[in-house]
Amino acid sequence: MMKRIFLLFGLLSIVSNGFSQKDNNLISFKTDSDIIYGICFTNKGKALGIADNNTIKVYSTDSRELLNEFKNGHENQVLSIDISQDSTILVSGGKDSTIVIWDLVNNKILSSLSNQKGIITSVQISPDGNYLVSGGTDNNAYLYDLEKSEVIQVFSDHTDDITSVKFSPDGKLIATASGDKIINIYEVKSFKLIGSLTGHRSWVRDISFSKDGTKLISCGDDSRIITWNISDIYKIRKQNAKKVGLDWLLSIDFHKDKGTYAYGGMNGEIKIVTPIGSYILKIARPIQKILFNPQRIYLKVAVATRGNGVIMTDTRNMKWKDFSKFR
Amino acid sequence: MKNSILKIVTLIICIYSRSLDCEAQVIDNKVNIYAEYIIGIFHGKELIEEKNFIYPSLYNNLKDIDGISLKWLYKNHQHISLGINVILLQASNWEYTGHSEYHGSKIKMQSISPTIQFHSKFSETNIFNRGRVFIEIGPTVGLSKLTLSNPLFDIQNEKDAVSIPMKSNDIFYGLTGNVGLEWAITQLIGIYITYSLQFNWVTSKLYNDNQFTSSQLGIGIIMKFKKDKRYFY
Repeated sequence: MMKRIFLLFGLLSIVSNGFSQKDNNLISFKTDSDIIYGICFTNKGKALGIADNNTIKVYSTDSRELLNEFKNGHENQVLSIDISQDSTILVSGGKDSTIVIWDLVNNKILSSLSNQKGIITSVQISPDGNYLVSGGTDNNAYLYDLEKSEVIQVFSDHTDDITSVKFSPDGKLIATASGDKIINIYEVKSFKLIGSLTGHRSWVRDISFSKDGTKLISCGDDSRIITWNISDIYKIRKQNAKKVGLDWLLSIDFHKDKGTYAYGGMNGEIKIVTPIGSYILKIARPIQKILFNPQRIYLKVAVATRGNGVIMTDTRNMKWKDFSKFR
Repeated sequence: MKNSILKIVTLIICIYSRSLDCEAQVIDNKVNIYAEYIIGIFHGKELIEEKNFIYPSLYNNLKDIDGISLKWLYKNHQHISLGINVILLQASNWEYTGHSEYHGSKIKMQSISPTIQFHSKFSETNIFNRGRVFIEIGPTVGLSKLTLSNPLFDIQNEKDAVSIPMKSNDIFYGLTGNVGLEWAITQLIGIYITYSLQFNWVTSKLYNDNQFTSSQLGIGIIMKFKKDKRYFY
């Protein structure tokens, strides 16, 4: 009996030892919460917005100084934020089912929108700054006229939570990702559903357009990364699909350079994939959001984590894996 | 044989766990299936006194208990799961000095227990990032099948056709409580250990025990299904 008990405890100690966590020394931003869901860069990448509980903080990416703080707009956790291309407007949405439009320059609320019933999981401002798109747990995507703060169209084609909404770089298309495993593409001008992309086998968590607008990349709980060719919007086709590991992939972002993207997920691994190889960094905390810094010095990403706040890293801190070795 | 299996399973789990990287966050899931190997002992007096007679206890002198259990739990609250536990146990190796009534006898017990589990959540940091503690309680009802190896008494008059009972199927009922620690290996698989205490009432024609208490130590594998997709909102 005693022998068996010792064997059980021995086994448990060996297993637990195998899972000891490691933390790296990375550039981090001072936030109240260690769990951050939403981040966004200004157009030039000089400032980084962070959704820290129900407050939005804007930091300088170079000095990591707090530049501005946007308070009293939300009653609960903010899940998604975005800054307009001209860096004058900030939008935020979250658990309180409210979208707040902020004057980024004068730090005041321009309007507070409560049209959505569920939690707001994703918001984005169109590249021309005229529209706002949002999605959430009521399964609908909402297109707003940003200046009038009015809903101009509700897209009700999804049957499960909307996890991510994105405008194409030219602002003509909207892509919505959902828990129903489908990505829908809408035309902004006509509000028409152009295509429903099926290929994921579980929740789609994030999507990103390539900067030239010819590709869309998606990731999800099925650990798959799918690249879609959307150069002809009426003949959208799956260009490439690959399964990377077993964990949920929560965020993905295309870099300006064609073919380079970054992703992360529940296993705490940041991966920047280039056409010739990939950079990897393990931070042992789930990655909620990953974004390339638009400043084009190195491949540099900001990462919102579940447990480590927001960190920034570039490829110099990351392990290189050359694809040519496997050819 | 059992020892060899246990050693092989231990070795496989050790190698497997070593080869895995740490996952940053384990998601609480909606449905868990627990499969467990159990060893245990009976507790209580070895002698039972009834109507001025003293008998050796059947259950409390059985030295070996082992078996398996299969449990299905559905998480319907952040810290509470409900489900059903099916336990199959066998007890043998009856020993009591100076007595041989139940030598070589075996008991097979099949029971079912609606279970409520109170559990912690997987946290973002520290040991509970991968570990979860739980307490379970539930009523139990089951069937205890006794097979004697020798008749309990001799029939002197060989002319009378008397069938000597060698088997007895008795219903028992009681309470089961478990405490345990589960350890997530991946999002899909985990291992766990439990300590269980069972208290049951039983009546039978072939023995005088009317209650028995047992404690069990178990090790098992958890298979996790139906993840909580909205884990962060």
